[in-house]
Amino acid sequence: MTSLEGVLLWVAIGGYAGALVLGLLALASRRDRLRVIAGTLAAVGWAAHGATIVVRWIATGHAPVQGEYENSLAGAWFLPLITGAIARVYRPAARAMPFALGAALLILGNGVTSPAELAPLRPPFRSNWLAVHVAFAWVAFGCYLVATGLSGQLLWITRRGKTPERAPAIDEAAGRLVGVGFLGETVMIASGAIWAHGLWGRYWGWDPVETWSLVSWLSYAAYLHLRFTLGWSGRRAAWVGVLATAGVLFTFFGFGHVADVHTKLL
Amino acid sequence: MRKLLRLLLSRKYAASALGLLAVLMALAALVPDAEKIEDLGHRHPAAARILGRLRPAEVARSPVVALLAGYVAAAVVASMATRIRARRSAARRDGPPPLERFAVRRQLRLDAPLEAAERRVRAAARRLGFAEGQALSGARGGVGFWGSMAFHAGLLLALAGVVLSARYRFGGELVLTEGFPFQLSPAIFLRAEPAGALAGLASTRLAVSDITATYQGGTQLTDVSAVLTVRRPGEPPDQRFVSVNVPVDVGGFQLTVRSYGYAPELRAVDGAGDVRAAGNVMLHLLPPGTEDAVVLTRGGTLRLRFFPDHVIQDGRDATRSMFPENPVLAFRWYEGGELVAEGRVRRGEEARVAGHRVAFPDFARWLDLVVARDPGVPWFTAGSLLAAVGLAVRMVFYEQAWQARLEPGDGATVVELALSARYHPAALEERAARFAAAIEGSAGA
Repeated sequence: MTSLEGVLLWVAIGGYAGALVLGLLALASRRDRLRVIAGTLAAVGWAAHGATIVVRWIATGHAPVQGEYENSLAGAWFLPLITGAIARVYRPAARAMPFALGAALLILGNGVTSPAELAPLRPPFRSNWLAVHVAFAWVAFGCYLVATGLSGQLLWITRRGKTPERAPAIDEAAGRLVGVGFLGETVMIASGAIWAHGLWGRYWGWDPVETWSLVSWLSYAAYLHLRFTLGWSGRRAAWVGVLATAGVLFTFFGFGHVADVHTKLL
Repeated sequence: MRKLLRLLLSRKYAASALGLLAVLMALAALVPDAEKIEDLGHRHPAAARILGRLRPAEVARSPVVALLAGYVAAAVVASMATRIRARRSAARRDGPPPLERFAVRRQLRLDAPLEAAERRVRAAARRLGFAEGQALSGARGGVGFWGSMAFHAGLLLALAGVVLSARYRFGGELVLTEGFPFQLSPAIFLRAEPAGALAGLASTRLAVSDITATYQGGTQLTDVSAVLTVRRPGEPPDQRFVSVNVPVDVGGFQLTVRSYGYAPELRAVDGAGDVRAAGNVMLHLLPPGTEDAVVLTRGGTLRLRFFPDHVIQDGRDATRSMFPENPVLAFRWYEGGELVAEGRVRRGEEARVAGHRVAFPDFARWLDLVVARDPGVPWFTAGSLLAAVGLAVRMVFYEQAWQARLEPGDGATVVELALSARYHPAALEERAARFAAAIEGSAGA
């Protein structure tokens, strides 16, 4: 890790942590001023996070896609972005920002405790499919995780049988994010399979990451069918959404060393 | 027949089948990997046998999973056929498009006569991207339906690819050493399934040369490449470049670089003057200093460590880099489990230890190639791409419809507006507000 990268990363972590604390205080106290400061801190943290990725990219000469540190760094960046994007369509979804920041901090924490030395791309990663595969994996992961946060929030605010005014928007935002995540995961699996055929001579090998990504894809396919064809919504759909996240967490973190398990070669 | 169709068209059963598939595969994914099962097999053979059958690849081949996947595929076909038929019959119906599942109604009062009000409603509808009908109504997002169809058709294609792969895929592994051309036959493969599929390559000779591994900083592997010379009867030799991620096609078979390593030329002669090993031995590409073993004739083992760029560091053998600048073989000769000789030998030299001689004239490299032919790949690829594009279209566009009824009043017109959508009811309120605002704001249109 270069020194500039280290400084920027800690600015990002500080920004997220400050925004998380102030955001939670703003939710509890309903003070607009705190909310504005929290939003500003989150934006500063996110910009610094983006700059960290750029600096890392320049230093290594490749996109940050190799090893746990780089995957955590890049994957976490999508969480505030996706939350901000969905909040533009459904304003109540902005309440998922503390969840997104908390998740981003946990993921970055996992990355910071992993080796971060600058290394060239290993031979298996030298493929044009890499960018497609990894970028869509991040989008899918981010969408699913933010959707889980929204589902959790829905379960919380409707726990006493009441349905607050914002509940339908939160429910719908979660459903739409799962839809986008599902698209991302479909492209991720397809591009990974095509890449694997050129790399290993087979497009599917039932390694743990492949199997869990299929489990996660099937779970969310079931979720989308329940929601869009059977009309499930509210708490029922939210519970399915939260349970389906287990597959995602196994896919991305269940094995600790995704790159080593998934791309063993040479 | 009707019962079967009802079963296939049941959305509840289809979603349950997907959920069940996910649960089965999740349980299979929790089964330990092959190495752990093999270890377990030494202590509990029965448990290892059962666990071996519960691994994901085995579960995926089981009749239960095949049946569930078959049911989902049949349900997709039935659902697609029904939906397309319903859509075609709806398109033949006259009149305004019917409202969709979720509807929001708004009432507006426009200070304009009936005709002007109608113009304003139509202009607002156009601005929001609705196709207009003759009546004061319209629809949009119909392309989303075809996106959904494309997605499901793509899944069926991909599934057909998977079935073709399971039935007809050939997979094999081949290790070639520089300077040793081979005629392709099942005998020279480490594994070849099914061996009969190699018939098309029976008279092909394959040689590998110029195996090159590049390292950044001398130790971090960045690429492996080689030149393959393919000789087929009646054709001139064909030289092909192959590297990681850059496979080559030989007679419809794809050859992919899997790994590489060193193959030192070795001559081991024991104290009685008997030659116990002669020729190139293939060493795994292991971290420098890790021991590999060669079994000698008439028993005995020669344990070898290969140092590509040998140096002595802190009194121990080490390598400066992975480039073969100063290749050295360190050896330990065992007979009946006892160490009888130990030493090291530089390239081009011979070492004599306790009457045993180990010569290391030179070295070559070996290349491990995966050989595959899979007729399911084009189907799987085309299906995946179609599914992804279809899904994207379905996400962006979805069916919406509007209807308006105008009631003239005193110099004003009351507009009863209904906006509907198949999905996303919470966002509908906002869109209805936008539609209403567009009508109110389009006074000059």
